Amino acid sequence: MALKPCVRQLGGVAQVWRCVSRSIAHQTYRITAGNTCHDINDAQKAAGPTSARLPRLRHTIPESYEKVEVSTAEWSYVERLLPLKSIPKPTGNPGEVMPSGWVVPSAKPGDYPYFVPRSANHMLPVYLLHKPILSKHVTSVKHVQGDIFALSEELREHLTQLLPSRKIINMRVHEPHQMIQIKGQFVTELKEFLLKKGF
Amino acid sequence: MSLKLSYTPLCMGKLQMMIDTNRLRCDVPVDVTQLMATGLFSISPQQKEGGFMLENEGIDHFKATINIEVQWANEAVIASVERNGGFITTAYFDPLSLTAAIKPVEFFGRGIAIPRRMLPPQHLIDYYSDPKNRGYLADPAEVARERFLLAQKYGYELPDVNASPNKDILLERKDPRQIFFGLEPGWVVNLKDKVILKPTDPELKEHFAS
Repeated sequence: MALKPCVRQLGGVAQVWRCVSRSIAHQTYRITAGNTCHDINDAQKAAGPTSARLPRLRHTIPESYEKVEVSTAEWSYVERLLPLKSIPKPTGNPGEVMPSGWVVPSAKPGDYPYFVPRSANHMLPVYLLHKPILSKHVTSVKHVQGDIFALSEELREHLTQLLPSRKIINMRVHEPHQMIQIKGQFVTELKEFLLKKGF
Repeated sequence: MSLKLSYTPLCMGKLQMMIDTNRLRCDVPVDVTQLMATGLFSISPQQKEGGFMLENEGIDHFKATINIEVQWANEAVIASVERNGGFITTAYFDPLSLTAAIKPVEFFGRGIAIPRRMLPPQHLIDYYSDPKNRGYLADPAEVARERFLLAQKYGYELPDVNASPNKDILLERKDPRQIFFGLEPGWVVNLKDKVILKPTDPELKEHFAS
């Protein structure tokens, strides 16, 4: 706390000390500032009177600083600061639409030949890949479990009905990666379809 | 060198979604520590980031009743929180206090005393002592008056706090020198033995209380 001014003070005194050291060789100077005390005779022994080194500092912290009162009464305030080890599960009735527009999933594995679980953040696993240089957009549905081909056929049917002007829907079903890729931007359409199914 | 801090934007719609998906704890007052505990954000005080700033997007469908403390908020955001019976406070965190607040477990692991939160710098004093911004240095009576005036301006009725089941949570406030709720500066938290060590020396107490 009071270290910096103390060092400056000591530096000044050390300079004075070097000047007068020749005449008064055995006199002791004691400088005290705050909790820091220093004996210049020690510095002289360590570095010699003509050395340019600053005298070494010694700190003495009062023993009363170490005395503490141990308490557990406020531990509940500490517990609320500790972050959770895992992402908590949402509370809410299945199918409930929350104020933010987020829907609690209601479908269970077995309702359809396929199943699309939510991501770790409780969102639908529908993503858009955009490559600006190639002007390429690919929408993908990930983590599809079960009969992925049945879902792809239903998606194709849904998109054809939704966009009659579009003659071809380029779709790739990647069964090992549990992923369906569709050329174009269909994030909203696919999310609406999956929400209607209850995923 | 610019003294201006930058703040992490947080849209009200996203805040509502975090509450809906049970990502953010609402059984305790929401502050920078609770927002960081969701694991969805990163703040670096070394890069002169000052905390969270609430953004307007999604104010119309914000329905949660919360007691939130952020570093920056505008009038529309304040109205959207207070319309639902919530409370909002804007509070300044100096870089060292913010480092402790964003990662409390790492901070307690260092075994040092909780520091005092410093007062805002000169160019931010006006913002944080203004009751219109719900500043933490403003007079509570003035803040209550501004709450009423804002309700008149936006045309909603302020819900009664005393009737709310979460009255204790909603009315919990920090001291301007406090970083964490319920923990005073100068205390050392021992996570291993689950105890809190409080200094008894009057000189130390005076230093941390001032």
